[in-house]
Amino acid sequence: MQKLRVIAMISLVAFSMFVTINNGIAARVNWHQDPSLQDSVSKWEKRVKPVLEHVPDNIKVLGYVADWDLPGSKYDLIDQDNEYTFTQYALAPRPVQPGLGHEWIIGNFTKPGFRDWLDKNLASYEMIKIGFGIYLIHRTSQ
Amino acid sequence: MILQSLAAYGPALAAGIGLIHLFWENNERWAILLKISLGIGAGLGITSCLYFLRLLLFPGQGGYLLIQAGFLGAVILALLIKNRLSPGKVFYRFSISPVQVILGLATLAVLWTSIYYTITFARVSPHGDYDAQAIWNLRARSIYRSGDTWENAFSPLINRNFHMDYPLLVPLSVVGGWNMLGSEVQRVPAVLSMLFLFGMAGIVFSVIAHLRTSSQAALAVIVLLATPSLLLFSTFQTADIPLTYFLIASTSLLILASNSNNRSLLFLSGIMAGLAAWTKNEGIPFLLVMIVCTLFISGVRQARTHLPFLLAGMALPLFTIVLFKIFVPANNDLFVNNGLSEIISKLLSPERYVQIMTHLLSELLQLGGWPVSIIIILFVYGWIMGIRSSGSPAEKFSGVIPLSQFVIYMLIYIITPYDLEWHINYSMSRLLIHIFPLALFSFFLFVNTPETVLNKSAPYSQVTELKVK
Repeated sequence: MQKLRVIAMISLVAFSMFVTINNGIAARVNWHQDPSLQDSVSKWEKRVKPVLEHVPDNIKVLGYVADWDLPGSKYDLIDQDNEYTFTQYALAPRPVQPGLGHEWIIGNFTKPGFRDWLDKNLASYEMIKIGFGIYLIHRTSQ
Repeated sequence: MILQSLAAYGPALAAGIGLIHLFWENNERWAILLKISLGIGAGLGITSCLYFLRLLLFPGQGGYLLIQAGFLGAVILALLIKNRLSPGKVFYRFSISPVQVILGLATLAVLWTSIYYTITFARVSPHGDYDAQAIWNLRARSIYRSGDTWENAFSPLINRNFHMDYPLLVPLSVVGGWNMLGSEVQRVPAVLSMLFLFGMAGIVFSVIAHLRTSSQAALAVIVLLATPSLLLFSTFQTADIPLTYFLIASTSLLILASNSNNRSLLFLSGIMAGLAAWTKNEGIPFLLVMIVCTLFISGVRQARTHLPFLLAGMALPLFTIVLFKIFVPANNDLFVNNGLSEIISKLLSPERYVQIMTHLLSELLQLGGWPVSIIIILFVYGWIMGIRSSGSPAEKFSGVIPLSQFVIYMLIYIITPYDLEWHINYSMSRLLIHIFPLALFSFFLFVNTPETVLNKSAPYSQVTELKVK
C-alpha cells in the first residue's frame, strides 16, 4: 500500500506539472502576439470614441441602435450584446440606452437596410458617418 | 506599469499586514507568510470601505492616498501602543527532507508559471473579460471619469444589465489606484487580481503548513495554481477571485481561532467574511454560513462570548454595505419579478432539479479546466492516501463551509427568475470556481500527508529550530 501511495503522490505532482507546462505554453503563445491585435475592447474604443467629438458636452445620455433593431435582420446576439457593452464601456460615464429615445444616438450597422428603418422611425435627423459601421444620428426638429 | 500599479497599493497593503499583526501576535515562519497574505485583503478591503465613506461625506473623489496613509498611521500607532513593533522572537524551522525539497521546487515552478500567465494575459487582454467591461471596470471607469460628480456613475439611466447593485470593493480599489497614479492605468485591475490570486495561494500554503505539513501545503498549492480555469478567471478582472480569497481567508481564520481559542482571530475572520459581502453579493449568504458555523463550532455556551467577536469584525464592511444599499437602492436582479408564489412553485418543480443536476454533473467533470476531471483525480488520490482520523472540530467542520455555499448557489438556480438554461450556462462554472479553492483546502486538511505515508514518525522530527531575536 505504501508503494501505491508514493505512486499516487508522484502522479498527482506529475499531472499538475504537465498541466502547468500547458498553462505556460498557452501564456507563451500569447506573449509573442501583438497585444493590439488581440485586444478587441481597445479596438472598439478607437472606433466608437470619435462620436464624442460631435456630441455637445451638455449631452449626458446617448441612445444606441444596431442591427438587432432592424426588422428581419439576421445577427449574432452575442456579438451584438458585446458591441453594446463595449460601447457603454468606452463612453462611460455617459449612459448609453438602447433605442431611439434620445437626441443623440449611436448607430452600429452592418446591414444595408438601416437607412430605410431610420427614415421610417425618425421624422427628421442628421447622420454623421464615423467609420467601421458606426454612425452618429442627431434627431432634429423639422 | 505592473510595479507602478503595485506600488499604488503599498500603504494599504502595509496597513493590512500591520492590522493582522496587531490582532494576532505570532512570529512563526508560517504565520509571517499568513499575515502577509491576509494583509492583502484586509488592507485593500478596509481601505475601500473607508474610501466609500469618504466619497459619501466629502465632495470630490481624491484622497485615496490620504486614506491609505491614515489607515497605516493608525495601525502603526496601535502597534506602538501595544508594543508590537519590535521584531520579537522569530522562529525558523528548517525541514530538509528530500520530499520537501522536490515539492518546494515544484511549487516554485508552478508559482513562476502562474505569475508569467497572469502577466501575459494582463498584457494581451488589458480590459479583462466581458463581466469586467459590463460591471467591475465599467463601474470603476464611470466613477473615476465622473470626477467630482461621481454619483452619476450610479445614474438610474444606466441600463440595468450593468448591475448597479453589485458592491464596490473591487471598483473602488481600481478607482483608488487610478487616483494614486493620476490616470486610468490599464494594469491596475490586473494587479488587483494578481494580488488576490497569490494572496489566496499564500493563505492555503501557510495554514495547511501549520495545521499539517509543508509538503501537504505544497501539494495543495501545486494543484491550486495549476488549475487552468482559476488562472484564467484571475485574468478576467472580475470580483470572483477576490471573493474566493475572502472565503478562504475567513474560513482559515475561523479554524485557527477555534484551534487556539483566540477570539482576536475570530474578529479577523469576521472582517474577512464582511469583506466577502462587500466584494460580491454571493458573499452575503456566506456571512450567514460563517455565523452558523461559529455557533456550531464553539457550542451554545461559548457562542455567547465568541459570536460578538465575529460580528464585531463584520461591522465595518456591513455598515458600508448598508450605506451603499441606501445610496443605490437598485433591487437585486434575482428578486425582481420573482414573487413568493413564483419562488415556491419553482422550489416544487422537479424538472428544475433534474436540469440543474444534469448541468452540475457535466460542470463538475470539467471543473477547473483540467484535461482529466480533477474531482476524479482527487477522489482516487484521497482513496489511496487515506483520510486522517485526527483533527480539531473546526478542521472537521471546514468541509461544511464550501458545501453550504454550494447548496446556496444551487438554491439560487432553482429560484432564478432568468431562463434556467441561460443562467446555468452563464454562471455555473464561475460559481464553482468560487468554491473550488475552499474545497481543495478542506480536502488537503482531510487527506493523509506525504510524511504520514512515507512513515516519518513526526513532521518535525528532523527539524532544526533556530530562534532569532
